[in-house]
Amino acid sequence: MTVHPPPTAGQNLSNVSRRTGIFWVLAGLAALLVLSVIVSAGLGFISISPAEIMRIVASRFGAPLPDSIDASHPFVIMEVRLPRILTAVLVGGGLAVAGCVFQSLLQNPLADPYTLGISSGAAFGASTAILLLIGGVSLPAPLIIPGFAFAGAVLTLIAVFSLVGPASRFSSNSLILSGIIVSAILSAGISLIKFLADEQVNAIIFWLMGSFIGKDWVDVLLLILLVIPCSTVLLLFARELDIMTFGDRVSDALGVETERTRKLILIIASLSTSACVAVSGIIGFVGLISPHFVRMMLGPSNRLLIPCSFLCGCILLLSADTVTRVFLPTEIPIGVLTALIGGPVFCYIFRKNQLQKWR
Amino acid sequence: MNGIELHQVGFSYGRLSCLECIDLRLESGYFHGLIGPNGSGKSTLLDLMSGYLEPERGSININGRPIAGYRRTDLARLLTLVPQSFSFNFDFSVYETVMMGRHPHLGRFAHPGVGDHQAVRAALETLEVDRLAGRSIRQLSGGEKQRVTVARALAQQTDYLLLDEVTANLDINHAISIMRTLKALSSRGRTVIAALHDLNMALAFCDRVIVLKEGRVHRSGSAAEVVDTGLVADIYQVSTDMLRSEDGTRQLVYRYHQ
Repeated sequence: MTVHPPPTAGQNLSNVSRRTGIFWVLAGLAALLVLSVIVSAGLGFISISPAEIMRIVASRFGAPLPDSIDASHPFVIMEVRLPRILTAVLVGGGLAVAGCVFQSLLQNPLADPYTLGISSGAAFGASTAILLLIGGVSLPAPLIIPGFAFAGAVLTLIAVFSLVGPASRFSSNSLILSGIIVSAILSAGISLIKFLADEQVNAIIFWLMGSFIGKDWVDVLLLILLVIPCSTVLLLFARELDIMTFGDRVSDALGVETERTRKLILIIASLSTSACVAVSGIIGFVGLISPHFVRMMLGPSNRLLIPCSFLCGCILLLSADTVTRVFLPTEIPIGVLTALIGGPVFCYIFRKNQLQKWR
Repeated sequence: MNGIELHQVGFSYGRLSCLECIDLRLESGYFHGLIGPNGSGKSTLLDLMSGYLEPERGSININGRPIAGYRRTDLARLLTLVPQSFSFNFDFSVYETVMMGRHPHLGRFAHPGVGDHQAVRAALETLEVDRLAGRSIRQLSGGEKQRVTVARALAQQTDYLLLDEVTANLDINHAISIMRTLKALSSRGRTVIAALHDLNMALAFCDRVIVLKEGRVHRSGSAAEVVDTGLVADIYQVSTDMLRSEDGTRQLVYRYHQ
């Protein structure tokens, strides 16, 4: 819970110290993220020191590459590890921000980026693409699967909106219910596709469980182009999001264009989620746990919640991917691992929080 | 003219007609009471006047200008609504919640300034919730939440205050205290429009009373003219006696067993 002392004559000082506190929290998380990226890039079958990693990255910006560096290391860092790491970072951040926004917007702490059925839409699109590839349609798989997944997610969003609108306000319950209905239909469609895929069903199952294997700079670029701008725009609506958690009448009375803002925010958060799912498959839990984690530690204000959730999501998903890539004998699905790592931590904090309320 | 004017306003929920042919002129600077039985259209009328709902028929003007012509932010600087029910899903502190009342006065990138903090502090003190400033809104009782939401409306510093059964969850001490606060605001030129169920409160505090029955304006006028035993019998089918106390105020006494 965020505690604001009642303002006194020294209110300006209090504001300054609060802003300074926020700055240090964000700076600390950002530093932790950078550290995580460097450590993760160095870990793997070939161990590479942080200093070498920095020199290799610097060499891409024109700095000379020392001869002492092994000839294979630049390739390992720049073509194998960094694209995968940055994909994990951006997907984690994107899903966490979307989760945070969906929770505020739907006035429901249990909402996540997939509440409106975007994951089912993307899964249906990707499954269709995989089925086409199995059926012998000659299309470039690395492009066609994310492309179909993205289109599936966007079409699902349009279907959910059409089901709720256009005359009525988009009430949280109607949106959640429409998401569930559309999801249920698409899940049945996915089951049918799995049945049709017969013995080659593994390809679909593997995609559905989410993975960062084989991600390249094209994936990173797609995420940079969609996740970063979407998350930045969502941050601009932080105060409106705070107000909208109190319901439509209150937010209208406080000067928020509630209907228009809700639609706009839903579209932006969904686009960001669609990009994440298209690139990495369905990775659950990070979009639910990161905002909750930050909310429990720092309070519900979206001005702090959105950037901190982004950074927490980045760190959580990167950590999970590093564990599966480096420490486990076989790579287990990343979505499973995020739940396995994040779940107990979340349980611990949740329990501690509950106990504090009763003391 | 300053005030809210409704001309032939009608509204229905689907096929269910809620308000019909409402013609009203609510002059600014008065405390207007909106009374009537459950389902008579009080909340819908407040929703229409606040711009939350759009009338299906007729027009609403605020300060001589159609309500639809206002930008939402401009309207929120002029008028606010304290609704009957709220959602409290997240642990915002009381201070943060009341500070949200300053939203229409803040630019997108602006931080609350000294004036905003002063407005919030004054509202917290007026509603006697200043000692709760650091508490989570979700940990408060129903009555405390109600007072915080009124404090948020006060912090908004609008000319018009629309309140829907704002004393419903309050003990008599805090109910009277809020009504006194609203009366004092109207004495200083603010316009208060409050849906009320407590007819004695309406008699004690309201300058004007509008009685709604089955979606139409049944009667309107000064509280002293409108609220009497006949009206209560007519719209609520309840027998009452009217007492006059030593200080001259009139009070309805309900005959509970008849």
